[in-house]
Amino acid sequence: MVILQSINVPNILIFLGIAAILIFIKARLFRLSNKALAIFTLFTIFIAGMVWISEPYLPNFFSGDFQMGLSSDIARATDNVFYAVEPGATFISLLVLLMVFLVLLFSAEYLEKEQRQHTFYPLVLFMIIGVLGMLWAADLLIIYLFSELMNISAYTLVAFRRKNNTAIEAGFKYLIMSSVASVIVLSGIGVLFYTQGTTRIALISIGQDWISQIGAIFILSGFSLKSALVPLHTWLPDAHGKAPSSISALLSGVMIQSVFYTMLRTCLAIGMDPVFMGNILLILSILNIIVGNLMGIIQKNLKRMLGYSTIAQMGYIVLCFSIGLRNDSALAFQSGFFILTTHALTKGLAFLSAGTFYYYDGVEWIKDIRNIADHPFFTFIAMSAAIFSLSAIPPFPGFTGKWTALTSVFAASDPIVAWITLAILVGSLLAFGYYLPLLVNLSNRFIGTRSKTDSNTSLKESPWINISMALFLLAILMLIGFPQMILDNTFFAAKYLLELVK
Amino acid sequence: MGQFELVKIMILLIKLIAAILLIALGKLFRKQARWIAFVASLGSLILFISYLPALQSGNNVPFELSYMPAIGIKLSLNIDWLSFPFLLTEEFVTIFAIIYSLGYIKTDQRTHLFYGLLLLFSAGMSGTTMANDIFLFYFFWELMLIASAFLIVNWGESKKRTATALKYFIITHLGSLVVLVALIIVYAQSGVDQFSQLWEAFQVNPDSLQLVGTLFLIGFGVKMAVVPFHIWLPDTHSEAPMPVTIMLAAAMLSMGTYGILRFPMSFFTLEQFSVFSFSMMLMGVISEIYGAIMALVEKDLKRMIAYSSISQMGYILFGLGTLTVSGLMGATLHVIYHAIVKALLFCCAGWIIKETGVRNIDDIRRMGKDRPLLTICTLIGALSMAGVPALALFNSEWMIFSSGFQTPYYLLAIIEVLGSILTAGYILRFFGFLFFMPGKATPSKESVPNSVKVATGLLALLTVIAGFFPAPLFNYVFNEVPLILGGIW
Repeated sequence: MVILQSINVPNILIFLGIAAILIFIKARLFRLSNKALAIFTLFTIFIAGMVWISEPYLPNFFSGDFQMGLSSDIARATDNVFYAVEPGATFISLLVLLMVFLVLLFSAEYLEKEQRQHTFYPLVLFMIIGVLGMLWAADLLIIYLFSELMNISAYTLVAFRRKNNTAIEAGFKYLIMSSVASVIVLSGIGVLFYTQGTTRIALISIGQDWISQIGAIFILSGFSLKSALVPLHTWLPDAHGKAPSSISALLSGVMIQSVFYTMLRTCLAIGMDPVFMGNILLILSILNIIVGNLMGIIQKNLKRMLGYSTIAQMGYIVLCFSIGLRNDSALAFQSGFFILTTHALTKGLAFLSAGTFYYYDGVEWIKDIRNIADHPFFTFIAMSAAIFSLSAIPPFPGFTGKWTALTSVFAASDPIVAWITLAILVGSLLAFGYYLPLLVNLSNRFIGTRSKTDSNTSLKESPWINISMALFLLAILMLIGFPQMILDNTFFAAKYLLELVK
Repeated sequence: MGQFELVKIMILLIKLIAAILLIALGKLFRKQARWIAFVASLGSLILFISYLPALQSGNNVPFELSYMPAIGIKLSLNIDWLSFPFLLTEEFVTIFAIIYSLGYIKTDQRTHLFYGLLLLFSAGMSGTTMANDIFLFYFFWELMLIASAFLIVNWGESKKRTATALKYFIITHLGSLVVLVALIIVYAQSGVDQFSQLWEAFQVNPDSLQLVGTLFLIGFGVKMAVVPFHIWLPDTHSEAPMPVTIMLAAAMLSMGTYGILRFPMSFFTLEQFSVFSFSMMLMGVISEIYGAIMALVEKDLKRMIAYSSISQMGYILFGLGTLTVSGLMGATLHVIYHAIVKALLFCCAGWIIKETGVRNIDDIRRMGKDRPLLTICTLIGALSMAGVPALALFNSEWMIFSSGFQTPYYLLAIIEVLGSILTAGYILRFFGFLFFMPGKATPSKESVPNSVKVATGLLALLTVIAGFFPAPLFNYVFNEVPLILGGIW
């Protein structure tokens, strides 16, 4: 594993933590408005992102100028290396920072009508610290601690609308299920510590020892729950349906994917059999595609439906990685990263659009969309673009990702290529079962007979919301124009994973 | 970038840009929206015609743009003799549909969206025929579907529009997915996505030969609406607003034919493809008879013409299935002629429905009274559909019929010829009921806009011209023959 020599990695996390506390204190002392809080938080994220981007080692991950393979010597030599950044985590962490920046821009307006914003922004920062720390950590216990930090912030944020009983229920359900997973992960770490005598990832090698293997399987299953793999997905639709939209976007777009990626690299690095792992993930991913899409069809609540769509999309992401594990295919890993990126951006945009329906019109149900009064036409374009991408309509990046995934399946000549193709195609066909009614409702409202686009009445479009959604749209357009960009930048991340597989 | 290359891109871009402009900013110039659409489609047509010299001189280089080099995807646009007839059809039909809708579609708050989507629909079809690589082909193939589904779901003529649009979308999208599987199998075997390289790199694997061919034929059969994949067509064509129906029936149906010519019939050699010959001819005959019988008993004006489309697609599939030069040429010519005549008939039907407000054949009597232009135009359309010599459809039908007798399947060819009696039957029933049945003349409810009259008249004129001077079209279409089935005849 590549060790970042720079001291900046923990510093970024510490900086974010201190900033979170300061923002909380300032908000209490000076009774800051929502916008001021948002600006402070945006500034914090911006600084952290700039420091992270200006990291001298960072470009090497994208140009391939780094040492491949596990450098356990370094880990052994230095006693206090808890962070080891590698290319895939770098890529995802950049995505996380981008997403959280855009989502906070949205929240600056979206949370105006809510209360207790002074808890919101610090919690978001803590959640981001959890995600980033988990991605960068090189020690099982550090991973565990950061994932707990992330999860505890997430439970609270899901239940942010505390006057709403169902929101509390969703947060509580998430807490119960995720705590069980935490216990399982912790047991796995304990077992590994018992057999291996260390929790440093680079020093663990489970080999043929069956007790260690059980420990690894504990870690895998615990993190599967946290990344919403069927059959342990039931917390997700509730949580995503009830959280504020900006939080749903973060949870759905980057959080569960970060958990999954951490699990993947950890289990590979401690020496789990890649083919075994690939087979398990393949079954889980196909279950995800089928269950997510089928359950999505019967949903009536917009955000809950998007939650089930996330489960299905998670299935595609996991499917790509499992194909990569089964066949040592770099292209499959790359397409996994590609779908991960596109899904983060498009699902983020979809959740934000759903948020505008709640914000402007108080609408949560799909069937009510057709009757809403004044609403910016821009939302319609943004939401349609997001839905087209999610339902794999060319040239939107969702289609490009699936095309790349299918190409990798065929190129690797996986023995069950026909079944995988069938799963992907049936999945994207089933997905129309819930995307089409939404599109019909949207088009009925915005271009249909109920159209009231002419009445330029009292609606005051918010620049914050529009800018944030426009930036999302811009990112999606970039992906339409230059999909090769993602494939290039994840090439060495894929190579690194292949190195772990061997 | 050469001059012709620019022209080639602009044929497509002018419509796409106008469409995006109308959808995004159309609110600002709602009154002028229809003229922007008209100018864009006219400009596209003029550019297309001005490209003809390049095509004739053989001076056409594909326009290429590197997209995803990692997996060998390079966007590419080209016009060759195979895409020429279809692009021609599509460009002309678009301009007529837009002329028709100038007065037909009332100017209201969403007019700009209607024209924007109509242009997107049209650009989807142009792009499908102009695409020179798989990725772009599939993109435009889906663009065409989505734009038309949006048009139907929002401008449909009755309360059932949502259900109809969903049915249309789901069934045709299933067909698209079948095509996608076949495309990906071919693409994965060859690793490139340019058509020209694909033909060379594609090593026909005996195992996948049948599979790929069948998938392509089923997928494009759905778009072509041959029996048993026709179930979306009657509802969709009767539900869509009239300009969209014209585009759907006259131009979009031909995309299935184009797909069959472009993919399976360009991949395979004559021997390899001959396994599909009989089934294609059989499906063609079944479609022809089925469509004609359904049209014969249908009371709804638009549905009747829609069933007639299924019947005509049967002719085309039969012609393709014969795998002879005259069959292929006949089928391609039939696409062009059918587009003109079908557009004319739908224009007339739209005129009648607009004027009387009635769609049932039984309720319309003596339309000819005081309406000479309508009578003449409908007469030309009906006679031409019935296959009267010297009018458009006769030429291509003749070629298709004669090609049937060059195959060993004489029985099918005889049924095919006899089936055309049914065609004459339903079209004369249509014309006779509406214009000559005794009874009280149906009164006019509202006046018909001039744009409808202009479009109908021009189409009738075009039908006559195309019938009387078939030579130029024949020469152009003949150039496609070397591109098909290995070019050995």
